[in-house]
Amino acid sequence: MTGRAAEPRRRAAATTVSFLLSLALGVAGVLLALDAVLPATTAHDSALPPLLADLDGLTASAATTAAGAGVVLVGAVLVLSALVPRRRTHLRLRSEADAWITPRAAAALAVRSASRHPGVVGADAERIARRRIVVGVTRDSERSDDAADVLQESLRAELARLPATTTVEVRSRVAP
Amino acid sequence: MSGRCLSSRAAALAAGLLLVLAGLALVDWRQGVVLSTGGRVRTGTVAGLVDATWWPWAQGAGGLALALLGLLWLASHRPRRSLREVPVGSSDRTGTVVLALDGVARALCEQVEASGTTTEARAGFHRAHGRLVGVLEARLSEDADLDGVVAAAEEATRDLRRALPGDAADLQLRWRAPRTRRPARSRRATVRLE
Repeated sequence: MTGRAAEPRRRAAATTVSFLLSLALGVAGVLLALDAVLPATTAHDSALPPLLADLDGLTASAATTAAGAGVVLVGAVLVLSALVPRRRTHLRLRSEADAWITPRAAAALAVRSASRHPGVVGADAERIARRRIVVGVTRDSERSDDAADVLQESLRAELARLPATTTVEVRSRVAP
Repeated sequence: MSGRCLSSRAAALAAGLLLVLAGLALVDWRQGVVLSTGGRVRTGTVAGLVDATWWPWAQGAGGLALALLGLLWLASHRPRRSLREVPVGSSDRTGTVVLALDGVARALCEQVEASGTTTEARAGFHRAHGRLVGVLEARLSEDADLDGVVAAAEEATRDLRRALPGDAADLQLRWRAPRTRRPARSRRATVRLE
């Protein structure tokens, strides 16, 4: 019953870049076409001749160098967006089915499970990542120190369906 | 990697490289390290072209072509539509039997939600590498446990295999975190008198 669907991943940064580029291309085309049509049908003058007149005689300066550096920076960001791999968003559960869960969902389960444990007065997720989830637990001061170990073992058993590469740690503190 | 993702990456890479080269040329204009171009910008030739009688037609046609290209490219970004129906094995020369996938998706969502582990389930089908792939996305319910989630996933996968026999379909189930409850606002106000 092994699934063959692709692993869930975040949308590629290049997709957003490509969307913005297509939008820019469309808008530039519309503006160019309007600039050609409007002078023929209305009293509106084309924007191209004044633009060319402004550019005529332009020399290299600190401003053109700064503009060039800015353009290089934007280009580098685009190149990076094209090369960076799509981030994995889910953890695969140990199951015959093709079942996945987000690290945030796994952390929510761990926090809820810890907060129901005897002697625990509060629990929250301190760190949520694909490889490591840290649950901060506030314990009742009357409980013994080995209660933290018991809690850790209990969480490990309840979250045994998470992949082996993901560890769930408990950071325990005693309530004041 | 899907074709759409690949073309997006190619477009971003091409645009990025073009911008980097243009920016470097602009920086080098003053420094003159690589292309000792120096001098002033002369737009006289282009201005002469713009004044020609045929120019507005060429500009209009070019603009329309660019706008059309941009629109087509923009349209390629729209979300992939879910498959509506699929022919099943009982089809032959006398007729085709199709299975409405909307109903299958709805049934899967209802089944997974009925397990008590899941809320807000939605599912859709698409084709990948010649196979039918169902993706069910849902949110964990507040009192879900992982064993229950896995049991619901395995049952849904088995049921889909029964509906589409012959190892014809895959089902992927993805869960997000439970919705966080915002603390209810108290109608009481506390006023400290000093």
